[in-house]
Amino acid sequence: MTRTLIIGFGNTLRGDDGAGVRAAERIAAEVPGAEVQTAQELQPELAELMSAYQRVVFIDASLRTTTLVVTPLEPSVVSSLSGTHAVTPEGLLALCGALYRVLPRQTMLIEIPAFACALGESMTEATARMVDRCVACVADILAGRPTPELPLTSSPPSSIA
Amino acid sequence: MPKTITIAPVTRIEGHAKITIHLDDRGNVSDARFHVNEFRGFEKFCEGRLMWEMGGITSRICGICPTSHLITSAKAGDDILAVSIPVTAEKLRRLITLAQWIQSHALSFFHLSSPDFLLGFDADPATRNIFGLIAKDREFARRGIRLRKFGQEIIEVLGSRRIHTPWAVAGGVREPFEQAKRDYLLAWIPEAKETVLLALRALATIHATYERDIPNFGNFRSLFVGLVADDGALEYYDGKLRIMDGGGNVIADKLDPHEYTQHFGEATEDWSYLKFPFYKPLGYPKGMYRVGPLARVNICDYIDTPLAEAERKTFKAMAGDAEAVNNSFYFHYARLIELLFAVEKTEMLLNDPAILGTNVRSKAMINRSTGIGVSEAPRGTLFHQYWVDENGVLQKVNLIIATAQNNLAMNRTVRQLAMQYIDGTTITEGILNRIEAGIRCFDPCLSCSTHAAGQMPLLLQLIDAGNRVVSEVRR
Repeated sequence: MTRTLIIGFGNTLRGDDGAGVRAAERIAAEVPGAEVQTAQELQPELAELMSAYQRVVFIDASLRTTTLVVTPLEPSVVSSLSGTHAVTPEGLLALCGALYRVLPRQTMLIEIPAFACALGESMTEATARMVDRCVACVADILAGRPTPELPLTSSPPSSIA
Repeated sequence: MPKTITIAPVTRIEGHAKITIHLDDRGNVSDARFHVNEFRGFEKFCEGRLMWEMGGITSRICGICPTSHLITSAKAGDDILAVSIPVTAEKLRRLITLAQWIQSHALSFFHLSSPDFLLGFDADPATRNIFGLIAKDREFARRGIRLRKFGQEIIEVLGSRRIHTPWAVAGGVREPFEQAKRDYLLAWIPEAKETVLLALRALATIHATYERDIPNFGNFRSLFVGLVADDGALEYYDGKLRIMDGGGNVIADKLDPHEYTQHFGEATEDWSYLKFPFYKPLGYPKGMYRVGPLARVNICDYIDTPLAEAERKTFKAMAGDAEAVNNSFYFHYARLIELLFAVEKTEMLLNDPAILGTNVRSKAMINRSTGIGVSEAPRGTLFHQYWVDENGVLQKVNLIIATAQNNLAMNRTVRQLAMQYIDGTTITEGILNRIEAGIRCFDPCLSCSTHAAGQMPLLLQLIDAGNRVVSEVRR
């Protein structure tokens, strides 16, 4: 079985923005074999943890979509330089490669649609339904089953010269 | 014709800011300002919330130093409950405060400032970043990330999560510590200590390399403010306020933090959301003071860990006759001394049997209508004051954040660097970076200080008196 790290991130005090964390917590409880990390923001030290996995799945809330979207990720040095509070998933992947000379064979981002991110701990019903769908999607991915949201993925090299 | 140079936003700091440099008709720098152009208004929207929620809410001010807000908020809560917290709870709060210093100081030195030092102020900005640093010295960069991780591990082990843990509460902490967790953290100490010592050796080389630049990095006399322990030792969690002038003279000592409003005022300017705190007896802006590592290492009589104390003596020897180190570049040195202290002190606390006690919380009802919490956040002294009704509902909130207290000094630093390097005709990217690096000495956290987050590419504009852009530099 491909060793997989699930990283759900977002702010659970900002309504739907916490969907990534909520989904990751559900996956930890309901999906056998899932190894899960949750975070308010992605931090550089996660790169070391990622280097030990063959597959990494980021889960985040997104205002850009109204459906669950799964996107394969490639390392990006540029996107990692956008801030110091937090690193982007692509930047974290680049950091992992640069620091540890290794990349997960497969990295993807699951975006859960967010509709309301005002102060508050509850999600909208629409986002909550998409969290359900995300949990099922990750269960399928971990079990090696086809899932409608996952397109054909490219596999970055497992090591960097 | 007068011109204005704008650096917006400033990079590799926490939050949004810009720098404007004003030139006179002859192209000489007439003024320079550090603008903070974000506003979040935490003080206002906390009104009406329950006092018990403030740790969780105020820790959301920042993703870098949430624990400092949490601890200071809990201390304000202790004050409202009018309780003394259990010994074990205080030791645990001290431990997590040191963890905050470790992760934040490691981030500042290794991630944000080292690219300038190891790659050079004039290096290509496309590579003058963490990836350039990795290409130059991968092991150095890895160690920096591991050191920050150590701080985060302590926070996660104690508080169940790395960021925004709700673990400290009014009256103490939620849960006692466990021996297995203590042993896990102790195993990190040798590596952490080795990494800080490596950084200190690297910094000694940096001091020699930039011997000509350093005197221009905010080198002026100011007051220094911070907490010290009752015996004058470096303090981070409790203690009394001490104020030292730029000549090394203690001008006020053993000030009760509860009386902070008697000593410090807050001025505002219409060109920045960041307030300008000042020392009241000297007025505004003469009452400019600095807080944070440079202030703390200057004002303390000693550091009660051996390796950090040896470094403090070397640091103080640089002061010469002034008996206070006034150059803001040496914030970096003071930060590493504190990092070393934090690792040594963490080891001491972890080896203290009392830290495994099980009595960790004092419980009480609302006993006071106002409470003040103070602690030393990585960037300086942090004050929280809450006013509550009989049910603990917040009527008013006042937060005085470390970065704001350095605002006058940051502006002075920008002005000094601009006057040294800009002649109105030669404005290179390296010069701009030096000006930004002057701000980075202070490691400002604008998210905290305006209660803002984000970052964009750097833009410099030369604007003439007719408001026309006559020159532009963009990263």
